[in-house]
Amino acid sequence: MRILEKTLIYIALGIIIAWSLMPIYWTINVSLKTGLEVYEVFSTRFSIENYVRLFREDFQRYLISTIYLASLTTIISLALAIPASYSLSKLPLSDKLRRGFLVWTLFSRTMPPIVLIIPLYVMFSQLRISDNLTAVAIAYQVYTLPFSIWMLMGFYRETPREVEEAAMVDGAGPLAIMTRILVPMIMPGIVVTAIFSILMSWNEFLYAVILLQSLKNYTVSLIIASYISEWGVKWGEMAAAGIVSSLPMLLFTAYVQKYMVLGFMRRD
Amino acid sequence: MKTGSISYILVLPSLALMLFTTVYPIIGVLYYSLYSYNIVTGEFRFSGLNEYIELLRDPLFLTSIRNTVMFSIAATVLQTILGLIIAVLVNQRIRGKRYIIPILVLPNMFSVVVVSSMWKLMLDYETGLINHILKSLGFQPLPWLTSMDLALFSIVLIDTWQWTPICFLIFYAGLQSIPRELYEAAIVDGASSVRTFTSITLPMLKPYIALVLLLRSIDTFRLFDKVYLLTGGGPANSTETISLYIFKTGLVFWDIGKASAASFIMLILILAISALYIRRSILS
Repeated sequence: MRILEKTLIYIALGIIIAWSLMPIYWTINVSLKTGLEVYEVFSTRFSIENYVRLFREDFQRYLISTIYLASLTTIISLALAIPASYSLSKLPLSDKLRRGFLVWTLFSRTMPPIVLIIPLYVMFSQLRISDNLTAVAIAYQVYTLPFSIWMLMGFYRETPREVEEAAMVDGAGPLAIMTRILVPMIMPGIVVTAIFSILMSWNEFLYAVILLQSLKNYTVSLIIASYISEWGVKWGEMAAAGIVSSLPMLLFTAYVQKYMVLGFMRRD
Repeated sequence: MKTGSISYILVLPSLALMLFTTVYPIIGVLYYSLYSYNIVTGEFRFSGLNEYIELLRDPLFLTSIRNTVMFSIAATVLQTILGLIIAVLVNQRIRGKRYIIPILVLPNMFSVVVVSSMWKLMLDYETGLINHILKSLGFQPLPWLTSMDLALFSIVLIDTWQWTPICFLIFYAGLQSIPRELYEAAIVDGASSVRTFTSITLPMLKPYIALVLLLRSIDTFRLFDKVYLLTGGGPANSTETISLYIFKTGLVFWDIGKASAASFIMLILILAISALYIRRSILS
């Protein structure tokens, strides 16, 4: 009876693993086929032609735009969230402000992003900055800023009070305590927060497709999206682009895996 | 006293940017929704509640609400149940957990655009793997994304592939937090495994189930990327969602007034779930 039960569990897990891996296997498979081979299920010849063609068509340019956008988004978020979350978790503030901030942070994560973008789009286009990566980085603060504040508050709270008290006795002000003592202490937490923010902007699509129009500003997501709509013609390249753009993100997520549940509970 | 003013100065930039990216747009949406406003024609005149009345008379808008609610319920329920089952399976005494968990989480490591491109390749009528499998088993191939009856179901399937891993992870964390002694006591009492599940596992997992239901309903309600990329809302509007409707109205037809009114209605619709989410997060 025990053996039967165990076998059933392994079979069920086998099916689930197959279901999880199938689309990934298939995409890698398609990325290594060319031309009419797309119609064969198991092709015997593999070629890296799609990957070569991808980079000959300037895929690196879209990668650079995406890296620039993700970095800018993350830098803005951290620059604002590191001091704000320090103040919210460690310094005296009016309870109303603290509570209001918290409630609004939570509320903003439940709001559908499409709802916020129309007034922002109208404003950006009136200011003639709509087709601009910096404008997108500012719009991305909708996602990354509340998330970063929320994450960092947790990390600040875990630092012991005595360290600050000792520094205060030595005559250090709140700013010195933050920059010289607490920020180095929570550095691992800052790195994790930065990675989550990079992942978010790397993967974002809605605001990018709305705000970016010219090809020179296209992110990886936008160029892959344009391959999807080009009916089959560039599917080999689309598959290759998906694989290439996912590799750096896989490395990042491997690094933050421990924090996955935490991150997802605090995200969205 | 000095510390007091510094603490406000440190919060101020974040507060300002959050006001700009969230409060300003909400006020903007409310304001524009009272106007007949088209960016391209330049029309901008007060129209009261007219945009709302027009919306509620627009069958496409009502269809988009129905599709969104149907998708949201189907995907949320499916992912919660599957995530729970997988978490219970992995939580058994089995070998190779260290390798199984990362593999199970893998689908969530890809961006939504990459996921959509993968499933475009999987579900293609002629070249897709799923139809290859169906044909080799002697079934007819199915028009997954191009049939009115199947398209929304296919989107549910794709979303389930992408997000069940996260439901699984949350439930798995929950299962790990249940004290072993409870199960040992159940074994001593001779309780069956079904009975153990319904009277220990489920009640102990209640807060985690509530969290997963909330997170997934918030996220599925905003469905945009997959339908925009894979079906464009079709065939015959069978996958039109509220987000897609707002996008098309405001940013394809440039009817900002109507898109804003639709945005405001969407905000009202999500408000109940938001309130539950905020209450739950503040209490914990």
